[in-house]
Amino acid sequence: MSDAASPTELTRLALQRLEEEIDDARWQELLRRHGPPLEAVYQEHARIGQALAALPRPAADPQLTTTILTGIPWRAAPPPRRFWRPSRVMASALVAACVVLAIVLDHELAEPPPLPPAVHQFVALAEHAPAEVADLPRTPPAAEKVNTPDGLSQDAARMKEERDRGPSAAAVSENGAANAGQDSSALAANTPAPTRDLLGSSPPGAPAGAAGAPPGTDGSAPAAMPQVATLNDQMVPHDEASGHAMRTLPRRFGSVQPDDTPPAAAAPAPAAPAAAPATAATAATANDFTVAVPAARIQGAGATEMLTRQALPPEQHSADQLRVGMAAAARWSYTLSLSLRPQLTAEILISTTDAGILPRGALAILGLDAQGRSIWRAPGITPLQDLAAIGPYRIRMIVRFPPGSVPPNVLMLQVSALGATSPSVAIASALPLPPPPPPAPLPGH
Amino acid sequence: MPGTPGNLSAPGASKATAVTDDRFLALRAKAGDRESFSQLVSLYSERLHAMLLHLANHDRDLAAELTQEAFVRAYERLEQFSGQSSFYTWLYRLARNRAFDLLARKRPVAEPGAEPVSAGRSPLEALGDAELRACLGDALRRLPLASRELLVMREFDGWDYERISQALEVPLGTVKSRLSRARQELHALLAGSIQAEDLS
Repeated sequence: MSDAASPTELTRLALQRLEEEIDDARWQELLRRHGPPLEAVYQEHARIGQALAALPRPAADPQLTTTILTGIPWRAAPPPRRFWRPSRVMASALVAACVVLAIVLDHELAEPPPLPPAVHQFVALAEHAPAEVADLPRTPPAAEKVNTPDGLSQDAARMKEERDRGPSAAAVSENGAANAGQDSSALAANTPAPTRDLLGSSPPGAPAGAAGAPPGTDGSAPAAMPQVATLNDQMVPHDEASGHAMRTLPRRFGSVQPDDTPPAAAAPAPAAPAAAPATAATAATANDFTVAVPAARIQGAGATEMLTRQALPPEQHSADQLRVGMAAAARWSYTLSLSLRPQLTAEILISTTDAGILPRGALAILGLDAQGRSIWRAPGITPLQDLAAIGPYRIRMIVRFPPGSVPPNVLMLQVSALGATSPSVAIASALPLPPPPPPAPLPGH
Repeated sequence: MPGTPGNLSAPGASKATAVTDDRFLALRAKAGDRESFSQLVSLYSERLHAMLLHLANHDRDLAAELTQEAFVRAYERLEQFSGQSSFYTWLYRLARNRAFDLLARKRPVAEPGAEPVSAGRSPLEALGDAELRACLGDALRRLPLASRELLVMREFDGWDYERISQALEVPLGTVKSRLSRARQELHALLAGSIQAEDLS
């Protein structure tokens, strides 16, 4: 049964079906209603569409693509875009996150919790050392900025201490320099007065090679000690390569002087330091001391340690003096054996022996307990450095614990994360400081 | 859904369907990669030329000129390509704008009849495919440009309605209604041609 529909209506329905406006169900219903006429109209239009699709494609000009490409006005390619360009804010946030992570990991994995910040004071002052390394023993100008709790500057406190001790302490130091002979004279001449003033911790008349001095302090290395390095053998070539004159260590302690030189033959120390960097490198040969570097403390390949040490008797609460050169990136640490008792205050002077960039975190001062466990860590040394600048640096650190506190048994210097552009690191001095004098009475009291 | 002619792919469309998405090439060309744009030219030059050939009433030189001009304009305006449509759709839009400027001045040779042929057995049924294609080519040339374009896009090149809608920037319903009208016009032209041949 089919409804009669006009050709126009049939065409409209067929075309709607072609344009997918009529779904299958409705189309079947329309076919039942209108019968073959609707189907015929639809097929006719469908056939036209199929014929259109089957129209032969005209063969394109084989040179068409080439012609088109020739006509493209090619422009210079822009520089490749970075996949990700962090903004300054993002970079800063990333750096901050890394620092926080490093601190957390450091605390979590490496060190036990440090002592509460209230129990210690730590001051690290860094400065560039444009002068030759021979000038390193000089007290850095920045030392003027370090004040003791009573308001006196460090130098003022030392001067006061020296006055309290009288001339004997200075005499011992000068005797030590004199006992070194010509080389020691050069050393003494090269050692500025402020630094030598700090050395007066040895008692008067202490014999050379006194108790506490390591075996072989006559200049020869103990045969049983591993990892022995001498200043003569390794440092001089190093400095020749770097073009810097070798600094000699300040001769402070009588125990390191040759026994055959009477202390009374002390040569007077010059009143003012006289720079003699050219001779200092060779002058250090006669009185160099070998020291054993504990093998366990040498970590990382490629490290060459060159150090001399002068040890004081423990009862004198003096410090080791080290000189360390690192020829390659390595992690290295050395125990200063610097006792903080009873002074509770120590000064450590670190220098870099040549130009280079000292990375942040390259230096660390750790405090060890009697069992050798790290119980304290000096807050930040190298962050004071301007990383954009290139050394040499002089870094003066004051570690001070308040009276009544229990300081670490020893301090340890840890050197790590040195890169290819890093300078060699030397410990110019490390010694306990006298306790700060009692506060001066106020005028009128 | 029935297998409508609109779903049939034109022979040249297989090349396009082999390309999953030409947006990748276009975006690389946008970043300065010449090779990517050269690939787009190789991929679409013949296809676009064939479409433009229908629009240009089989004027091969004009079609080639329009094709080249379309690619040049596309290259110059690559910064405007956002990737919302396929590159070919965007390219065709550039091409047709220029083609319409040139071809709008030319009026079709004959206007199609307004009345559809009667239902039932039509003269087309008596024609073979070869004869139908011959008549179809002639009828296409006589179609108005807009109708011709729609039929070429839909039937000859196999575009779907959505793509046509994007290229012509008209609603989907408008595309369908215009296509219906174009089919009617073409059918009328074909019937007229066949009847004229029969009469002669």
